[in-house]
Amino acid sequence: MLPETLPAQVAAASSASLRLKPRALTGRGGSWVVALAVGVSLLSLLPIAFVLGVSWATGWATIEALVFRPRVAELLINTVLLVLITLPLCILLGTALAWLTERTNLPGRRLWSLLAVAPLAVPAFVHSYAWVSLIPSIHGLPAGVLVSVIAYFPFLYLPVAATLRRLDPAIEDVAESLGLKPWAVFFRVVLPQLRLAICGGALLVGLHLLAEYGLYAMIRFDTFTTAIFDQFKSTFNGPAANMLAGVLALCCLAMLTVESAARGKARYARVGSGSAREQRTVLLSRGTVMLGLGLQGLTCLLALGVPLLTLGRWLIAGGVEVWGGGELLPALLQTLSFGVAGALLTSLAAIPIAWLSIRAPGKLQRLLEGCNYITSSLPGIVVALALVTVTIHFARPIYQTTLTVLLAYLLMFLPRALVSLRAGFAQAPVELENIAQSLGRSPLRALWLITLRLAAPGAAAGAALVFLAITNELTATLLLAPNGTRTLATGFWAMTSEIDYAAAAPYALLMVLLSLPLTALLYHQSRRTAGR
Amino acid sequence: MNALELISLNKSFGAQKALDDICLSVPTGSRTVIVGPSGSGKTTLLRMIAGFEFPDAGSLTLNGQVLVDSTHAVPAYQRQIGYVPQDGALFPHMTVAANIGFGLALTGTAREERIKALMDSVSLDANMANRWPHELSGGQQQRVSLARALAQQPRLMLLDEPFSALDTGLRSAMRKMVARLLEDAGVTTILVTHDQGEALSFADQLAVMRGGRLVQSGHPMDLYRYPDDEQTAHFLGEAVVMPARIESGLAHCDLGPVPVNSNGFSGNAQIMLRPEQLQLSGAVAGNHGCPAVVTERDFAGNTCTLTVELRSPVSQDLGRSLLVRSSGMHAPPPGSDVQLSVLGAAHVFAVS
Amino acid sequence: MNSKVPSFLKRALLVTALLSAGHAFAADGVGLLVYNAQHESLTKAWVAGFTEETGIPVTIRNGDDTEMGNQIVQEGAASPADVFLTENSPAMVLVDNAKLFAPIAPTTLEQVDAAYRPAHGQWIGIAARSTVFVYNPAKLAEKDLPKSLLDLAKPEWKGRWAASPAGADFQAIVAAVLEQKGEAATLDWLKGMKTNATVYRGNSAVLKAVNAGQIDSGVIYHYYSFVDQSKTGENSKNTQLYYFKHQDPGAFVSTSGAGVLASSKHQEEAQKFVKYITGKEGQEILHSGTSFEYAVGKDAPSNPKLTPLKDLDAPKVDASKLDSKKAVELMTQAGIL
Repeated sequence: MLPETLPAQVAAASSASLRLKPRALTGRGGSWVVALAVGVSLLSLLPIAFVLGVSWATGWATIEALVFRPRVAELLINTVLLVLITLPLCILLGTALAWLTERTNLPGRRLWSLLAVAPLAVPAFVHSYAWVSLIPSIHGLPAGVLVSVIAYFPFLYLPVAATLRRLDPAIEDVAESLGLKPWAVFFRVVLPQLRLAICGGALLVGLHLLAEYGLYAMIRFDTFTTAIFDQFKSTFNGPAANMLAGVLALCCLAMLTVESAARGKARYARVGSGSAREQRTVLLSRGTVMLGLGLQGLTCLLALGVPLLTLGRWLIAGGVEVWGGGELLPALLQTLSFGVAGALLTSLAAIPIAWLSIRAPGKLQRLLEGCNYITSSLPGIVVALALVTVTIHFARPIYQTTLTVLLAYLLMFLPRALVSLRAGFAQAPVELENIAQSLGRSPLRALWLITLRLAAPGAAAGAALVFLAITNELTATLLLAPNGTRTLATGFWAMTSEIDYAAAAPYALLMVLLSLPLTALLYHQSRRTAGR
Repeated sequence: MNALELISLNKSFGAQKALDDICLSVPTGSRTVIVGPSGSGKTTLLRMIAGFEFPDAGSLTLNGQVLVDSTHAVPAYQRQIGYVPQDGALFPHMTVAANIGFGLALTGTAREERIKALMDSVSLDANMANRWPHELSGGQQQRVSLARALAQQPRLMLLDEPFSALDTGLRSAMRKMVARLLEDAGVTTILVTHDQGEALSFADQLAVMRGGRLVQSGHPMDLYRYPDDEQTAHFLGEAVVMPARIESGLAHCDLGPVPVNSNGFSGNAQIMLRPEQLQLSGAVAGNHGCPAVVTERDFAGNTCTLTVELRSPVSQDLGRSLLVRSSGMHAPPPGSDVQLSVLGAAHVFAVS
Repeated sequence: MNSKVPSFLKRALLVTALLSAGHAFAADGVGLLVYNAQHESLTKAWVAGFTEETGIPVTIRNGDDTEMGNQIVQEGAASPADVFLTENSPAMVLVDNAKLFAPIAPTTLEQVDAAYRPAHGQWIGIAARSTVFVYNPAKLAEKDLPKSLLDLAKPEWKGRWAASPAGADFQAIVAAVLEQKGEAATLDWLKGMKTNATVYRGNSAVLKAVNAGQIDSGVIYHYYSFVDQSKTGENSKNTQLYYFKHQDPGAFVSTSGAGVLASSKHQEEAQKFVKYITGKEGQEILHSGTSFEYAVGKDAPSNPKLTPLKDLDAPKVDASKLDSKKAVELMTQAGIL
């Protein structure tokens, strides 16, 4: 999973659009869009409705028995410890690396900044697979923390690096002129300005920690998600699985609330027009350069070296045979088709809401977006469970079909498409459409010729992010994919479940290769937008 | 006594020479303005004084203490030099009061009172203390920035184009306020700008930079009246430059014979006149001055800009075209004959 | 990104999308659809032999015992499945309780030992596997081996054994314990397991861990060891197998089942398929193949490498009475799930 653009940028985009005069939605066209947008948002409330509905139907006695038991306490402790230890480590590592690559004269900065983002091309469960191959006996909380930090620190590195690039250097100049030593400048002036980036990144990491299955299953660390999965395999749609899902959903909502409070009310965007002056670079002493290079190198080794070397080793050990067997190609094709279909569907579904947020921002639009945002924070397994229940009881024809899987992807990844699409629509302010109309084009042709053309790159970027997320998605696919269909992720999982690590390697390699171009895109995007 | 001494400062960025042998003395309590076009190196110089850049060669002394020389350099946070950048650069995560009090070592009521006094001195309402920077207007932000820099009672104040981000209407009011404030505080000030009007009005001492060099420094009026070269002349205001033959205190040019401060120089040279030195009167035969005819008139209310073409005293051919400003009361239409006379003396550029 | 996406690319994407979406709505082909929870390689071998003999094409859909069992129950009469194959019997009981099976043809029933099929004949056994105690001789001496599966709940076994409780395999074992010893004893044993056992995901993982010395012993099914031995043996060369025997719950032999769905539109072909599997050729695949599961056909020999079924002294457990739902409930109560 790759980061959707952060909540901060969501807020910034919304506030930017608020400067445009809100255009009244008149006529049939407008009401259609609103109806569609509301429809999509209602759909996205499905998982929440499921959790509430199932809790209601189960009855308090059963809930009590299933939720307030030692096992749940065990899982809760595991989860809380995981989050409390991993997040600070990710923040420290991400911020340190970002500072080194953006604000110092460390040799090879461009390379290091690319390498810091590269671990995103390796799915989290493949990181886990690599470590288990390397040290078969690692398990439990320490292993969980290690692999989680390695897999997820780029989510903090990216926004912090982008923000460091954007900071007004004059502020640091002034702080120094007021008598602050360099370290004090960093802690009292630079770090507070990183708050939004750190909060957003930490939230993203936290949600991934709650939602991830494959990573923890392989290193034998029990979390809510692994327990839900086990229950699902054992009892299918039983109340125990659903109750655990409910507790997990609550944890996610709690995390959202904490992050929202931590963000605070102050704004941290650059105040004033400012001159686009070059960032100050800190000149490091030799000892610090060595330390910096050591940190970068170690991170690179652990986060990239280990998975790549392990993959290489397994591929060599497996030889040519593992590439035969006729399973790999269908899995690849299935993954691609899921990815493309899912990306298209999600982008289409995002259009009404994105359009609303640019052309007619307001309370309704913010409410709709809020619904989508909350749902996308829920783990894939909760979404999958919700869809299983709903399709079985209310929509039997689409139960165990591709459509259900695509629907799950839609619910999980809508915000990624939404943010990019919204940025795309923002490229085409309504004035351009008006001008096109004044030059003789009908409203619909103006929309087609101007707005959609200008919004296309944004839409494409959003679709690309969704595609990437789908190709690496494991949990929901395991639950929802029709029998007999196998994606690269589920194929990989099947192989590792049989301890056939050599056979799993080609699947992992293909997933990494699929992720590479889009990781590169993300890297370039982040460098470009920050420069402005 | 000179507060600040810059001695032979040199700085290169790669192949490009940003500062070329800069020497400047800034008297205590004065307001020095460094003015020049973009890329002239003035901002680099300011940042060097502040301590954010370090010279390749040369030295910098403040109140007798050597800040930079070939052996050592005092870092910025030990220089006690106030710095106000172009857009204020307020700390976005702190309130106004916190911003202003950032450099203060005081605590408790003493701190509060000092902050209040500082806000007073920059004419900021006391109830703004708890506002956030993004809630303030540009002018208010600039004033907070000023108060913040003054809080630490600096030995020197550096202002980097502080008014350029403000609306034009606000600029001169702010300029006056800041000038008065700094004078009351008795703080030596260096201001950097590319706006010549601002430079001329604010400065006790004006230094013109171009291409990394300090081309001329001195009292604003002196620089305005007697610029060393044509580029400086044009930079500081509108200038009428024309070739002339100088002989015994008179310059013979298209305007006829014009008095000139030549210091005994004779020969061909370029002379400069400021537009306000050109006076217009109706065409009266025998009057002293140069005949001309109005070709264009741009009436703007209280002033009027006329384009006139000079008539050579010898032949009646039309020659050089000049822009002349005149009061709105006296605005002859195109085609009228006028007489152009010169107030004061022309200035001769040194022949290089 | 270039906004000018070539039009042919756009069309290609659209076609791919439609194709993939339509994939699931593929029309029912000719031939059989088997919902298969058995090991894929074994079923493939059966299908290959069957299709060669009868010419009837067969499509396999793979999944898990519980998952597919529940899916069939959910699909009900609308299920497209013709035949359901499992690894253990509880999933067959699940589907049978929903009254979704058609009776197996009597001639087919005759092919299999009575011990490996329920009396009512709604489904039939096709293979069997034995519970086994795998241990690392370097870590566990022969004299310390447990006498009974239930001994593993005792304090001295804390941290010394492993299992994979989330899988249908182990849940069948627990269901057998439940059937043999009753709810109270089973719950006690499970609580002991919670304290003592290390949880792995998958029997292969347990085997590998025992082999590597990470854990002293584990409770799995026998064929995992044999399958590994037949390949490189790297995950089992440091292990030994121990059979509890003496009709101990730990000697439980689990029956893999086959059932014909009553809703199937190919009743005759489906019955033929089940007949083939349980007949001479089908069971021969178990004898000579590499699945290493036990053959259940009358007089059908199992793979010579295996300890013969009759020597295992398994407890008599009625396969049709195994209640995995209750077993999971107890495991949840004990805090294992």
